[in-house]
Amino acid sequence: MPKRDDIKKVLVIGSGPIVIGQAAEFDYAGTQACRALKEEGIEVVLINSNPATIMTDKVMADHIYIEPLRLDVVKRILEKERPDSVLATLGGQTGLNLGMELKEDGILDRLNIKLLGANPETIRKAEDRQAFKDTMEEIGEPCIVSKVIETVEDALAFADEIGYPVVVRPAYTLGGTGGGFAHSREELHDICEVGLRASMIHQALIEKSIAGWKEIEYETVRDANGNCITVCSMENVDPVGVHTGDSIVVAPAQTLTAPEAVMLRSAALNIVTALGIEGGCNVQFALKPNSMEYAVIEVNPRLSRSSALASKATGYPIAKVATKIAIGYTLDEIVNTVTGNTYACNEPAVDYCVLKFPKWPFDKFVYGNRTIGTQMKATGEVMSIGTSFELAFMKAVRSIELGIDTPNLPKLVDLSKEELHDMISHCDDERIFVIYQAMKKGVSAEEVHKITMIDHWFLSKLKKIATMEAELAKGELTEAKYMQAKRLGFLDKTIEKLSGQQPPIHRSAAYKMVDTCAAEFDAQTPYFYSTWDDENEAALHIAENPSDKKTILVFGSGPIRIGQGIEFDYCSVHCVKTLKERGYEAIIANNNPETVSTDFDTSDRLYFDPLTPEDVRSVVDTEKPYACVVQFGGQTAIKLSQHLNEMGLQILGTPVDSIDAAEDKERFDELLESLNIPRPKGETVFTTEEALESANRLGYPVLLRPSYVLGGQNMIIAHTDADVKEYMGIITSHEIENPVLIDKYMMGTEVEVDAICDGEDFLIPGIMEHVERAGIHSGDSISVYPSQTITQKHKDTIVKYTADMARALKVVGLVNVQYVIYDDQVYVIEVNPRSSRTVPYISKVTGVPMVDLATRCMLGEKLKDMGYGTGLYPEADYVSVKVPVFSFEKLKDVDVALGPEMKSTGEVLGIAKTFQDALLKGLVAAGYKLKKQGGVLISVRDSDKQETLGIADRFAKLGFEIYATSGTAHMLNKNMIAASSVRKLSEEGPNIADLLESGKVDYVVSTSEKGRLPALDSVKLRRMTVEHAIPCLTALDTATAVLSCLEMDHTIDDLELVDITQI
Amino acid sequence: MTEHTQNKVSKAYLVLEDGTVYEGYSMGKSAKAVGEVVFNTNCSTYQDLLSDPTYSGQIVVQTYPLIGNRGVDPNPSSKLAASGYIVREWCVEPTDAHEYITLDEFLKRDGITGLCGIDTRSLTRKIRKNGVMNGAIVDSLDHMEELLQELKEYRVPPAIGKVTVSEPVRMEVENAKYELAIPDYGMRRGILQFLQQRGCNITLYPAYTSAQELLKNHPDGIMLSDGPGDPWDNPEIIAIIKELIASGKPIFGVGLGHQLLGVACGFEIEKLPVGHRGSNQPTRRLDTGRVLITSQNHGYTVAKDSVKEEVAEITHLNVNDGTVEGLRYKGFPAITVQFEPSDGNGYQDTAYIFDEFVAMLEGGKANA
Repeated sequence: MPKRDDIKKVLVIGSGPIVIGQAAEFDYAGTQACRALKEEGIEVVLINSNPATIMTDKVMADHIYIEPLRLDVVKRILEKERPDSVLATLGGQTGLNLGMELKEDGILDRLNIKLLGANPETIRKAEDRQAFKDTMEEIGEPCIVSKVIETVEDALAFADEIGYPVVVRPAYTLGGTGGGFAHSREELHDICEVGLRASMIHQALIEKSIAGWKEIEYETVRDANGNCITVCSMENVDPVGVHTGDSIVVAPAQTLTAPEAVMLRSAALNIVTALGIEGGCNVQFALKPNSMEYAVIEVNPRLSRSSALASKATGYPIAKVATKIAIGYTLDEIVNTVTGNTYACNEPAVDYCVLKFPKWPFDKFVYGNRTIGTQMKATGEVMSIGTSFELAFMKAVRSIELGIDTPNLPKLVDLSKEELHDMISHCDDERIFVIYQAMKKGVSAEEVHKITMIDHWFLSKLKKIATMEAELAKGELTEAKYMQAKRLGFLDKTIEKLSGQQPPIHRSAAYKMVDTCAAEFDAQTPYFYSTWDDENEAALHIAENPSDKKTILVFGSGPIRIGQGIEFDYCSVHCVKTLKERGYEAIIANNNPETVSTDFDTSDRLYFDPLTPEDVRSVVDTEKPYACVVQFGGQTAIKLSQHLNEMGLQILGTPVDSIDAAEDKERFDELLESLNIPRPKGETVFTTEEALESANRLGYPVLLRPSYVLGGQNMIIAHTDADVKEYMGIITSHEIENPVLIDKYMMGTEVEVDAICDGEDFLIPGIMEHVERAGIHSGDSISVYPSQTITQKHKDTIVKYTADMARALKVVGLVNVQYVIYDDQVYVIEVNPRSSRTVPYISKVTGVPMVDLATRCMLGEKLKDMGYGTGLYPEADYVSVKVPVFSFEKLKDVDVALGPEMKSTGEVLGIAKTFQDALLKGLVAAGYKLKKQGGVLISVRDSDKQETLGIADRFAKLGFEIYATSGTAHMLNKNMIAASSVRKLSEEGPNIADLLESGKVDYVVSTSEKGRLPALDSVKLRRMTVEHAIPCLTALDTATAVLSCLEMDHTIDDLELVDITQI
Repeated sequence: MTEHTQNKVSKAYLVLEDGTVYEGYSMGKSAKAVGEVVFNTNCSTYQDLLSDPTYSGQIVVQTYPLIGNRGVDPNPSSKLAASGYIVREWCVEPTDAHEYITLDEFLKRDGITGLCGIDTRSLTRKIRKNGVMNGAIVDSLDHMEELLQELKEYRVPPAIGKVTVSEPVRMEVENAKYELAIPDYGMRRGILQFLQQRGCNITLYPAYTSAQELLKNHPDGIMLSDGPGDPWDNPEIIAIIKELIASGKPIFGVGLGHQLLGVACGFEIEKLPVGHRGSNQPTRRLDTGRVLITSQNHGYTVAKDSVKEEVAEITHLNVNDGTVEGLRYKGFPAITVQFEPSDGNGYQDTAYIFDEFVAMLEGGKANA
């Protein structure tokens, strides 16, 4: 069936801000979709509230709305743009839900708009628990046996029927409280009693336990003609029970027998056929080991994290194919662009092992609850490819940014066999390392299997790595042993360290191609991974396709984590685009499967491998590039600079030494002194004693941080000696080699600029001002462009300082500078001579293509020839407000209070004619419901009490009921503001917990004296607030910003929706 | 736990007819093995593949690098047919170690020569570029000249005589509706259950059984099975098939059987450059336009241009290379397919073919 001719204009719905569970993979999917539509000459309208995405770039769509992803907003866009179709299956669950809401609303029928790629009936069958179960029953596919019960007796009767163990899942309780596993009638009786009491509707689900079953996924694609293929099978190393997003996953499935593989594949195809999927669909199964018994866990009738992984794992572009299917094509009409001579109906065949390893945020959230289970906690992931599981596993371990080259986690190596044995049963983010260490210490694979139910195959592979480690430690290093170690994924560095010997030969990796077909066909698209074979397909490919263009290697930014998000992928992708336009061959090295940069048609050649010096050296040996670029790949790429320098590879742009000059405190101080630029007073310390002395000398509050940081890692504001002691305790336990910096903390207005420099001239697209005063990480602040309260005098100063520092640091490319204005004076807080988080959004709202210009500067062009002028760029007519988005509800025990440590996972943008309107849009896009009546609970630290009066008063004037903890209430009452005093959590009920439970509170304003310890009352209060989905405002400035929106007489319905291609 | 690893066994080599040598390690039986080197892209099937008689005279390379993860069933239903087997890495400690034996043990026991530890992707690329080549697994590189000469001259020997049943085998089902006669050219038995499920009593005959003998018990239909080798190697069988055509009995052909019927009707046979071997071959069904994902294992094909319109209608084409995958004959009741309709992946797509054949049997009965 060829393309439908009734599709001329399509609205694509994006997935919004990055949150845990919905990350960059949807930018990748959405970008592919937009490209696929434009390729067909279809006019594309796009809505996505996330400004850091590539899909919201002007070239990706014809009309782009960075607006809140809400039904009312999308409806208005439909009215305005009148597309003939909506594509909602590429925007994650957010997009899918919006698509369904639009359908139910009736607007699609009214305006005669088609919903592409998602038949509402299909979605209902897949998403509605009961409808899904019924459908599966109809086609004879087994689901997990379960029953809803309301009495203990019914539960016992049902369990007798299905057999123990069973899982009790009480309905409507927070975080699954009250549920659990029951292995006997007695246990079930007890758990049920508690569970039913905990359930708000006195109901629980009794489910047959499938703990220990294998978790297997199939990615499928089906077209309207009924053609249907599986793209890839995937197997979770962790059995059922750990969210697939938090599981280590291999592709293809490794431990299935041929009949099991056929059975599950057939079941997957049965299911997508029965559901009538047209596009991509993910099917998850639980498979009982050695039994041919399985159950369908769930299906996702849309593009997903797994489909992004499957796309990268096979080279099969699922999002693109799904989009083509949505506009009428069938699988046999869509050419596979990897081979150029096969079609999308060819099931990919792989000839390597792929491994996905999650990246968790617990290095940032030191007090976060690290247990992993059914709630996903990872912020990102890496993928690795190898000719063996061991090679892929070792690559993943060194890609995941834990600072390790082998599965030896420093904090585990000294534990005893018994201690490690006891830790195995606890499933947290480090369990795989515990298992490795335990096996090294002599715990048998059999024993580990008994405890974890992880398949023997995986354990035997870990054992093999451990055995090699021991072999190497024996000292003797033959060429054969060396090559064996290399093939198991050991770095030279590790081999040298373990054996005490130099490698007997020097070997660089050889590269193999990911070609969707296991070399059955000649492939056109160069997507490579390293192996330790002799034939180097990348080298052959380069030789067979000679080019007189110079080659430039661009480093990506690795896994998405807090502090280093999708923005850096945006920058890398743009850099590549510019390099190609300027006549260079652009090569990407990266390890993140969720990104556009690792799409095989982004660069001229893609190396999907770890970003360590040794891995990179092999890429350089094969590519022999003319130069490389590090400044767009975040800290991951910056960290490589020194090594690249030593390799003799030219780094384009800002010299490596300047990075050091900006990050080394002493050198930076000298630089500022020579330029006569002030910065907050600060000192360097190594021990707790020194820290206390220094803090008292500078005067509290002070800011503590280790040198070389990203995303405010391990950074706090200390108000007392106790804070300093707690902090130094954590830092010294982390074996941090760098000294700790203590700065006087100035609570002023924070300002941020990004500048492009060519070595002589500079261009500042805009000055951004933070809504919150200094002390909250810039990534977590609400930020506005153009600045709203900065005087011309200060602006001039900022421009001058930026120019002076850029010149002094010999910046060629991008530089980001953060300032604080305090007591009418501008101070520099930090300078980062590289791309920053704000580059994508500032590029979009100012119209200055920053990465493009920066890349051209790095290639030797001059700003004055680029047509954007120099100095400070004229301010835009529109105001843009960036609002951070957090994933706190998913991270148990993490304090939600904002501070100098970055905590947000994503961001949204509000664009309007005025600051107030843009702020309103931003807050709405970030998920604030902005209820204009109800109750406010206020609990603030003493230093904030005075300022809180104004806030409380304004809430009261709006008619809000004010609740406050005793101290705060007393102060409010004294100042003639009516407030009900509420007992603290630690006091007997009814207390704050009951109040939050009651639904009377719609906002919580909570600032606390100190501390992130989960046991603290204030931290607990904030956790409860988040868990009840009540907005928790932890900075008075944020509260004021929210208030100002509540006081407005209009709502988002009254605001113009802005097509950013028109500004 | 056994501590033997793959590197402790002795070196072995694959020598290709163009003189290329791959150095690896010996696996299975340590003996010289000569054959046509072909690759298969299936990821999870290895045991079934080794026992597929169509691999007679061939050395099979598995493109997936990690083979034998679940071990091997020590009691396979049929004996191994391939001349040699090449994998990158076989699993020393299979998941089901307690019930199964390792691939190495299995090959040793059944006397198949294997090679592991080579860059199978490089080998596959070579075959793809040059077309299938003859090769030998050897444990030394002495006497290379003679070996290369041997390889140049090697042809997959006609193997039907070796893999067919030695005497008729009768298989009855309850409530049988039809009688099928199947001359066995070296078929995989898995396909039979699809016919049995549809009410067929089956008699397997040795491949060279005469038409009179095959028709003696008045079967309702004939199936021409899959099997190894070049269809032109079988003039006697082709002659028998011509007689079967004349009988007017419904005929169902699969794989080699599909090719042989084509030859019997005057169609040409071509050798494919690398063959179709894997479980992911997309095949378009021309009547509905549906694409079927099929399992295939063949090196020859009925030449598309040689199919005379008045003799047969092409029913299926390979989506990738446009080769003939299925035929429906016009002058007599016969349907044939090149792919394996009963096999592993995709059988749910292709099982309808058995229904079509059974409908022909039913029609034949009605006309009788």
